[in-house]
Amino acid sequence: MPSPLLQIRDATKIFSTGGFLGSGRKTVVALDHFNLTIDESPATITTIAGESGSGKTTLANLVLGFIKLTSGHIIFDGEDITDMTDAQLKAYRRNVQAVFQDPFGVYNPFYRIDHVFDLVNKHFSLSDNQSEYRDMVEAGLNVVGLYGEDVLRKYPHQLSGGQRQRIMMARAYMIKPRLIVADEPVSMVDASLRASILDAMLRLRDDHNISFLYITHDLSTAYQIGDQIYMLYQGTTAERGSAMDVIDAPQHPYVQLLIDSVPVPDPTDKWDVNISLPSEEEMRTAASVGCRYYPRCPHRMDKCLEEQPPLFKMDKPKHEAACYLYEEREIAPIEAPILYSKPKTDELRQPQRRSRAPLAAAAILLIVAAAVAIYAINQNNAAIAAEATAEARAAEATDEAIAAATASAAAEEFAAATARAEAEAREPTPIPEQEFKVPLEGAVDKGALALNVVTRDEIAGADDAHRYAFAGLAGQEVTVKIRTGGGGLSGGNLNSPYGTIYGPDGEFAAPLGDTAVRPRRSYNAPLTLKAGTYTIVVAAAEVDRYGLVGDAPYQIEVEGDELEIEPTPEPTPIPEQDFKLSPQGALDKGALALNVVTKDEISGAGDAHRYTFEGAANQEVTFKIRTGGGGLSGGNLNSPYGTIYGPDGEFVAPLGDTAVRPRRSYNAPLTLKAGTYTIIVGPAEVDRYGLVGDAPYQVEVEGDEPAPAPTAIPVPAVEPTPYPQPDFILSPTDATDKGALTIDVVTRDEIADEADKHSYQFEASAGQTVSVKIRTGGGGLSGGNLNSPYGTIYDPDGEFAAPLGDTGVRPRRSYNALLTLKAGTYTIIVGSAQVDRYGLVGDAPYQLVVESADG
Amino acid sequence: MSQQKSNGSDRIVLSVDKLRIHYATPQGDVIAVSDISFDLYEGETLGLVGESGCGKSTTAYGILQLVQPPGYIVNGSIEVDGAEVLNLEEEELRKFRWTGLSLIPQGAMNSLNPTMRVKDQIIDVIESHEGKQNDREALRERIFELFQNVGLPNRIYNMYPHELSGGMKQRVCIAMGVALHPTVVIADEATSALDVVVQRIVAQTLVKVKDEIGVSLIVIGHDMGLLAQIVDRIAVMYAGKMVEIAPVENVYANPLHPYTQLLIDSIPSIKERKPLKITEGITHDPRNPPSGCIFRLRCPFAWQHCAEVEPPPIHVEDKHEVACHLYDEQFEERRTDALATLANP
Repeated sequence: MPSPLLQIRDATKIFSTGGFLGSGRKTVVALDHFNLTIDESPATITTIAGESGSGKTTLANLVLGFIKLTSGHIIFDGEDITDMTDAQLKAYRRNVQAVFQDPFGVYNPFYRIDHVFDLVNKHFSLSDNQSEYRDMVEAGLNVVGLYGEDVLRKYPHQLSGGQRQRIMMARAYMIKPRLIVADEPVSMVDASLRASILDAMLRLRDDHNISFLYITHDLSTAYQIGDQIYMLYQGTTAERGSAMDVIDAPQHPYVQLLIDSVPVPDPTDKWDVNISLPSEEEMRTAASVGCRYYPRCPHRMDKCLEEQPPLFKMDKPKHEAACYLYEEREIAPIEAPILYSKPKTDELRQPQRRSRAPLAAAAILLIVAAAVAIYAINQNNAAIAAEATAEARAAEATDEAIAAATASAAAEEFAAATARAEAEAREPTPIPEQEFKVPLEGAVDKGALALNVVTRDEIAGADDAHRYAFAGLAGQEVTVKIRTGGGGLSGGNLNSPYGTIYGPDGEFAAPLGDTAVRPRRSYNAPLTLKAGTYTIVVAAAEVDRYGLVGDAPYQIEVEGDELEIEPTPEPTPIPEQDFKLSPQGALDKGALALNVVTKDEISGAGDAHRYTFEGAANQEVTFKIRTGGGGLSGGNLNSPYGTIYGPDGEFVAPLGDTAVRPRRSYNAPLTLKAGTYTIIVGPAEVDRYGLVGDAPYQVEVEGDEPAPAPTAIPVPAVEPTPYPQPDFILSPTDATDKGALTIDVVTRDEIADEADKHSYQFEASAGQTVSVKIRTGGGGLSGGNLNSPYGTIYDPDGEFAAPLGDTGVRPRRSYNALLTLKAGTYTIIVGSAQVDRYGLVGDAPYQLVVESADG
Repeated sequence: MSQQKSNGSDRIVLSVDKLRIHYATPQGDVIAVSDISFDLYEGETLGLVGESGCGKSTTAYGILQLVQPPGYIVNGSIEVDGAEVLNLEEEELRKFRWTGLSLIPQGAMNSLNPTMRVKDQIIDVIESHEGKQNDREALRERIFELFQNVGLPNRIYNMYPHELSGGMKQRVCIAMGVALHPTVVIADEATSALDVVVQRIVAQTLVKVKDEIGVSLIVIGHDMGLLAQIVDRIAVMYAGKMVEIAPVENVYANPLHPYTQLLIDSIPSIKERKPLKITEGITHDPRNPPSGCIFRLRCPFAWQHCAEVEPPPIHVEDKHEVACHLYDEQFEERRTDALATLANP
């Protein structure tokens, strides 16, 4: 007899949803006493088809081990997967690979394709030898009709959906699995490219003896490549048989409707009847006993309500349908589960594992022995069948008890932590119980992760949640990330948080965001941990807090280093208002240390700190501000925090932040006039350039001895940078008209030269108010200085009027504050030469806009 | 119900002319929709098909003025009942969106507000355009009539979206889309997330509502089988270009453009097992489309001329245009050869 590769026997999966503390809880039977067999050889493609909710994805998740059966058995290679040892499970995961629906979501868009294979090599240690490994990759790609040189160095977006999906097949192939669970692998791929994926499946089946569990709702592809087909309806098999027999001549009324509803690509052969569905309640509530299809069935009989119909044999071999219309026919026997007895040393099968087959086949042992044999032959003998089932369930219950016992030990430590946390919590935020534990070493090791991949069905229930725990060390810095595995997030919520991270005391630590799109500081800012157990909850219930549940598989990752962090220094005492910078201080190199101020002090709207400082003519100084650490609100790390005014009260320069990185623009050495300079830091400065951070800060004036004041020879006035002839003239009408603008789009190459710059002019009338904006055409600014000013606006007298900022990100008041103009010609300079003043050159196309703000 | 064709009318309700939409990226603009022109006739159902990324949804969003940055409309004209849509001010446009043009979005299950009852969402649409409706009884009747149109039971009036099945939610979206009797309804992959049986019900609902309310319909999709069942004409898009537009019977019986031929050829059948016809999806960089014909890199019949000259739409018969040099009179010989190759591969 053929030895079965995969046997699913009497499998039932019940999900509980809704309700609280057991009240009003509903159960959904996703899979109901389901049986399936896939033979070891020859390899086959077994299609599982049915509408959504029929249980086909549940089946895939069960076989992949993501979820556990409520009762019944999944037996792979003669071993029940619930009884497997860790080593056997490891081998099982290697033998059963998955290919998912979305061929884009599984790729990290920032890595080239070869990264996918590198990861496989890392996880499964395929080969240490680089050239051998490269040959393996090439061989894998060739199997699916691709070539390394065409795809490996590309990014996912450069490949078609068909290629991406075939690469997933190649990836699975490299691990040499014996079964691939392909969950809707072609449904998101364009019709003209589907054939290439189906062809890859056929090649893997025929040339490499890999079987497929092909989950789909697309009957036409099943018809083209499928061997057997199982048509599911609400968790039961309505009909099964060879794909061609079933689709050519469906016997079950539901399957008949289904096949009749497949749209025929022929406009001359249109649907001739309109169909309708019974109401939702009817469909959901009816038939908890009896045939599930009863409410919709045109042939329903009273008998159908009494008992669920068994599978009856149809004319073609192995073609069976579960419908009492065929009551007079023979009932198809249910196969007994076959378990192999294998030496445990066989667990760690290496890629050459195929030598094992004859041995295992020879060593077949019928564990369930006589009872099961009778069960198989006399399936309609209800008494015996019931007995057998009861026995199986009893065994299941014992297993569960053992599993629960082991699990409880692991959970104890965490439970204690939770109890403590709950006692101390300021607000009652109960941490839900833990389901998965991120290993401690995982949290400590760089790159440790890969918790789990879960599909949407698992967390579809409103009360459903996934909980993860990991242990944190004091001062350790980690980043917690979630990746959604697929495209199915609704409506642009890609950046939404999907869960919540709770600290050891049950306190809210951070929301959990999606990093698939781009690093998001707010959600994925590194967390500095306390010692203790952190809990991550991802769930529908989290909607009330921070969680939005995606309907796609996801993966959680905790990344971090072992870090001992010294405590943040205490802020120095709050100083008094109005400080005088000592002139000596300013003259001495390195003199400074104004003071440290906390945010509370300058939170009042009229609050400001003013500092004065005596400048000598031609003295060169640098003004710096340092924020005392960590917490600037709103992410304006690059914003200026204050303003430097000259002796005549004129604007001299904004005061920037040097804590992040040296910023030439803000801290360019200033050549002073003689007189008193004033520095103002505070909310009042918002109107000009000041944006107040909520952290302590420190102001610093650094400078040289002033040049000996030449008495005889008059000091030349500080010349404003002479502007070049304008390249472009902005028409005054343009400048006044709402929406007038659009100077130009320029690429980086044009202004790559150090001396290069673009200058623009526009005519202004006195008192006119405009806003001058620059838009960079894309993300390509160097160094991520999206908020940096890119140029300078000069007034008709050649004086600095304002820096020119980027509005691409969001409206930035500071840079695009409205300017009230004098009459005359204003000049805007964008270019590398402006680095000395305020310009930082972006390496992307940009566009200038001058918009009137009058009226 | 009869799926009576109402494509007899020659009155043009929607005219799209040289619509061009780009997406700005740091490496240059991606041409999503490239100078597309077509007309939609009164009472007609037009199918818009193509691979994902071919610009079919972007075209729809362009028509509705819903293109989101970094996308922008470069040029073109969109006339509904003779009125230019692109000139409308924000407020006029808002009004126009449900009364002139309406959208049944992709994945309707996600486009309903989960916190509002079904009735409130529909009332919202009606009242935002027609002002506060004081006669609540009449309003309710009107909504019941809409339910009737789309085959929904009245009991869902007070329900929340999560209490409905996917097919019902999709039909609520259809009801909202037609609530104000727009001239043109655009259904963007309205059935693609549904199971075949439900898909059939929703598709039939669309056709029924279209006939009862008398709107014109654009159905965007990629399921050639489904489109064959419900549309009057099909416009085939490839990489932002419209390569063929033709009455549905012609498209299936006698596709002219090589890409349309490929599409028709790759529809998997449940009637007979055929050898798989494998094509590579490798396409050009959308920022740098090839010279000449957009499809020439994948076209089995391309020759030098295709790289040099972009094929203009060639009028082959009534309401049937194809953008392929093979149908240019001067290349008749090539056409004969190509068709012979197709017949005897």
